[in-house]
Amino acid sequence: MSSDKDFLLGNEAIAWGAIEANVDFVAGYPGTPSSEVLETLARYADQYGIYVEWSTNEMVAFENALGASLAGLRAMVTMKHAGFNWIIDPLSVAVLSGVRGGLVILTADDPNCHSSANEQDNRFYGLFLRILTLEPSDPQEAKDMTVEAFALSEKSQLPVILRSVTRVGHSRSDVLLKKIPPKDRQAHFERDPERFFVTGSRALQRHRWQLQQQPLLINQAENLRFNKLRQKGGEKNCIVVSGIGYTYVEEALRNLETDEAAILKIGSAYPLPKSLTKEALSGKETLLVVEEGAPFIELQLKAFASDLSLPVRIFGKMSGHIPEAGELNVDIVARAIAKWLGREEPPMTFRKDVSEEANKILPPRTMVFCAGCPHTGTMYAMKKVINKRKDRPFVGGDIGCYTLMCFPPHELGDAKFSMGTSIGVASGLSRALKEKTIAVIGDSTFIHAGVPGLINCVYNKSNVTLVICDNRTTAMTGGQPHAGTGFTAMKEPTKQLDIEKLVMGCGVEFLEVTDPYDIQKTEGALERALNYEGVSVVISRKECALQATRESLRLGKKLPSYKVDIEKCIATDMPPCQATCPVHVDVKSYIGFVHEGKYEEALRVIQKTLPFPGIVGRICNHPCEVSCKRQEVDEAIAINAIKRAATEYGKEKGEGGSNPFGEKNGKVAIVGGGPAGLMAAHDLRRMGYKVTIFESMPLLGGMLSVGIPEYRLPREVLQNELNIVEGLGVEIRLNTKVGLSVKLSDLRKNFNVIFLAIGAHQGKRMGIENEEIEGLIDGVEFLRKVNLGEEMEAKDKVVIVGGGNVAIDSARTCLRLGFKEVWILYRRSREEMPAIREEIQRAEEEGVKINFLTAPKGIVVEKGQMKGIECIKTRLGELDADGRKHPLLIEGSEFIIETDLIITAVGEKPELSTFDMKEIPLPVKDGLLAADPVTLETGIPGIFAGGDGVTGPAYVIDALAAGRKAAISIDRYMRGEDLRANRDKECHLESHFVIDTEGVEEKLRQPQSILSVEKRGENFKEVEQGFPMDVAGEEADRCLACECWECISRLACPAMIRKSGKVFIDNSLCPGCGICAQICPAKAIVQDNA
Amino acid sequence: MKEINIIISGVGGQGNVLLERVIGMSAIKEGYPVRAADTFGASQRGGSVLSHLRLGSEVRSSLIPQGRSHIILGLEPGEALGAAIKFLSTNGLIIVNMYPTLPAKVKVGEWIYPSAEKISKLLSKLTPNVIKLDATALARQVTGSERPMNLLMAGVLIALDVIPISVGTVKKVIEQMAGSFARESILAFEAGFKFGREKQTTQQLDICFA
Repeated sequence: MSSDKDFLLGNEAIAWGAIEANVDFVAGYPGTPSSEVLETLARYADQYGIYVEWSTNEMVAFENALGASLAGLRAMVTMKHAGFNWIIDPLSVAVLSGVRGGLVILTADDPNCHSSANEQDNRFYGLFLRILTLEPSDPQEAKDMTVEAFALSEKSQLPVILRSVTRVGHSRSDVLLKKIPPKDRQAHFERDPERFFVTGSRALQRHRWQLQQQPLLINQAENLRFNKLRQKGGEKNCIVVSGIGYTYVEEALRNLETDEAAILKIGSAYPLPKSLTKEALSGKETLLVVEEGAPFIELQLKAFASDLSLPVRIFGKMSGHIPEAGELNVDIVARAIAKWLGREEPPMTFRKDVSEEANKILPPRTMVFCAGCPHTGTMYAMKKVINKRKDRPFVGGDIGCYTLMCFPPHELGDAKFSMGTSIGVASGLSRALKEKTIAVIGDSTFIHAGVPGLINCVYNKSNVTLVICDNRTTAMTGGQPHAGTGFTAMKEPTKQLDIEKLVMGCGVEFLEVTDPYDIQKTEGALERALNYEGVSVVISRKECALQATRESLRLGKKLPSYKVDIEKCIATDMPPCQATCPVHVDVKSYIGFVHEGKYEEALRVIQKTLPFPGIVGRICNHPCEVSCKRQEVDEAIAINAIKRAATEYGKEKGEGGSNPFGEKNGKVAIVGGGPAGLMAAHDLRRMGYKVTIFESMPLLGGMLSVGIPEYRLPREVLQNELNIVEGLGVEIRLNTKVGLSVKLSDLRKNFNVIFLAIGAHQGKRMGIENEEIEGLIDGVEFLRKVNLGEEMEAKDKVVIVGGGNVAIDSARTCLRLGFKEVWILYRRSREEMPAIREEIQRAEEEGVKINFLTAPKGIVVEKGQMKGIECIKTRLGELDADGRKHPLLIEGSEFIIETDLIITAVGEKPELSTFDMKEIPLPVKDGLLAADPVTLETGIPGIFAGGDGVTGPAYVIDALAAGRKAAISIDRYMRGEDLRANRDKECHLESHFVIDTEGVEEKLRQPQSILSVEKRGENFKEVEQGFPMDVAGEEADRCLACECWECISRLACPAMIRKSGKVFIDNSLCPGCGICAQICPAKAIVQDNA
Repeated sequence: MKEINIIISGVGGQGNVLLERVIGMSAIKEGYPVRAADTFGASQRGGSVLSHLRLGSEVRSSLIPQGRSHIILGLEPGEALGAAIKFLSTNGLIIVNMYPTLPAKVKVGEWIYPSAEKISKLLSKLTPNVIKLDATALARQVTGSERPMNLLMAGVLIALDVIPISVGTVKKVIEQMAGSFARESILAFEAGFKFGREKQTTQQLDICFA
């Protein structure tokens, strides 16, 4: 490079300064914002005959540079501010011996912690060590100072500190470069142990020597061209400014349009130029000190003014004019000057109006690992393994890219300080807590500072697991080589440090090496390491993705790429609640609306799939709640009660009246007006078909009307929703029993399709002796009679046999009719009882006595009259065909309960005897109508069957699902379409979601308002009274709103995008690590071979 | 000319720094003192990057004070707005690539990226001088790659004749700096230049340099 201007970074300028000064030897350790200095020198090393090395750490770098200096060579050592802490030990002695060839120490300070863990101001080291400390203000000066620093060091025989800051090293400007003079220095070490073998009395002597050098240093400062005084305009006021502050001050004064201050520009922060400073301070009333970092010059000036008894008032950071934390800029300095001069301060913000609006909408950009970063795999696996453990072991972090582990989504790491401290701190904590701790460190940092910590762990028998995230480079600072990479700073191949051998050499007995792209393997390795008592080490090794990508591009190699199979991606598939619901109500959405207080919207969502929410919201057995993921935290969401709240507060808009659907040709006869028939009628009518319901009883609703007691389902609510069907224009023929009043064959003639939704209204027999006797009544018949208003005589005692809802309903109804004692016999235990859990609880509250593990054996008859029931105790055996434990009779345990009324509720079956099976041979199996489970076809063209008549007694929601299924089949049948295709979404679905409930705070389920037991008495008032509005909102807040974003939310990979409810991979960013493919619960991410 | 301040705002990986170096070096070749600094936001990769670029003999600080940037060269719409509210001078010029680069928070669905209309509206509140284009699409169209979008933006700026740098100088600098990508870089620069020249005839700019 000849005399020319180039556009250089401050750090590049420093490197060129060193080249211009004929530097011979440069060593350093990477650290932002210093790394470019050595990188630039490494690039020109050959051309200018310079030896350049990345050393294992700053201390070693300094020691090497010191060695070169002792041989008379010009040497430089580069580091970030924190690295300086490492060289204090050798440097504090080297300042006593002094140096030979010029030795310049570059410290790149980082005010504002742009890429550091502190803001330390290394100028204090200049004062502490009593060596010249230069502070450049811009790239040009940085270059010029570097050139002079070598000469000054040689003259004083002391090292010189060059203190840069981020805004100097990382600023760019036009820099005038000079010709590089020829080099003729020869290395030669002249022995002088009196000077260089520093110990005891020699050290004391050398200290005296160093102090004697101080006037020389002050003299150097005095003559330094980077110290300047401009008195113009400042008779009373003077600004003393150093380093980058100078550019801010000049511009701030210009912006304030003032020159009311003299300016003393300081280039040597230590020592200050004495006479120049005295000249600047003399006669001034006030000083403002502007400096980047701590009040270093400010303190010196206070001492100085005091020594000379100058009556000047000194302002700066200590007076609060300038903040001490963070970095300066023109605006901060302008405000400080304005305040100091007593002028109006410029405003803090600009364009406030637009700023506020913009800041509200602009998305923040947060710190995440790069796409394909191996640390993502390590952290994902570590989090999983840690979460599986009962103890939450302490995790110590260290310095490097993997520091980002502390941010979402990983949020790992309990403490992090400085280079290598993870190991020592983890070891100390493990000793103090007497438990396992974890330290996480990178390859370069481990080599830099981790090894002594590991040796100590082994030596002192700590219980620490060390995870070495070996990404084969010093990644955070831009990918510099280190001892483990096999290359030097000058790109020469060299012996590669074997980290495994090093670890083993420390005495570690548990060592596993894993590939963080292989999640299972990494989890396994970490799990074993954590279970190992003592020191265990896991090396998680994969090359930095940025480096690997660059290398592949260079070699023209294609990286593997991945894609999401949209069909398989379950991101916004049904959550467990919705999947389990037989009609798949969109639970998450309506709960979301209830939480927002939007009850109308909530109701609209429910009505999309469920036309009868008021009924279902009261009596559903809510299988959704059984599958609710919230149970992993505490209790299931009260989904059904929230549904009821949505219905009550959502100003229900009836669907009746208007006819928003087009009419279709086709007539459907529905036999049975219970839930299955009603649902089919509703759906088919809305599709446009003409629908007629034939109901044998005098009212619609089937079991809803004649089975379920009023205290569970108020008749007004029931009637309102039954009216919906009629409102749609469905023809309803009550008191019309098909088979008796009208023949099935006639229906076939007059209708295109028949749907048999006849329900199961006939009680089964117990199969014991004397069942024909008076005083024994079937539960469904009993309930039907009560519901139809028939008078029932209240008895002193009743025994009910059975464990389903009919048994419980009968029992509670008896109490309300004034029965004194109500007994239930159930042959299995409470666990197996099929009745709705809450109903059992209510029954017991009300006084129903349940004899579990008790079966009926016979009816005690005396003189043709019922006297009681003979019972026998049971125990549970193996699982039987329907998956329940089979009750085994315990011989000899018989006992008798006296009673003159027995209600049997041991199951129901459909009433089939009225059908003329000769005319139309309906398929029957085990007393039930037989129909295809998918299509509900009976095998007789045009006749479908579903609901309790086919399945036997089930829940209302199952009957509704059957009605819907029938409607779909019938519609297809009418259109001549395939009945069987794509029906899998109608059945019970499995949710494959992996919902992360970690960190969800416990908050118990809100109880519904319940009518007190006293108030229930002998009346049919509704017992469960739902949620008040505020409670419904509170309860809705507990919903986890289950969705699967497992890949995106756990990895936060920059290549993954969430769009339209699915996941996409941006192939321009994806380096093909494949971690996402491994963790996708739906196996929806696959390698893209296209 | 006392000073011209330009902020190049974008996100990591968009080529802020090369763009800054090309314009800066061109200005040096035209005889102007230049200062520049990059400020990185929270993230190294994909995080916000603001490059301050200042030409002129009275410039001292490499960072532009608030409200004193005459030009915002926005490589990404949100970033352009973010820079403009802080740095744009009265009646300054905004040239903005409207192609968004989604932040992580948007990608994971925690935040909604503001609409182009909303961003345009706010930019127009700041200054009448807004030039919008989809530089990413244009670069892809012209070169087959999105990479030289940054230099395409330089082309737009140079075409507007608001900074004293000649086309020839910039092209020479690009050829020196872009290495193996020189050809596509020049192509993109020329496409931007053409776009800028067309804009110059159709859109009245009212720019006031201090």
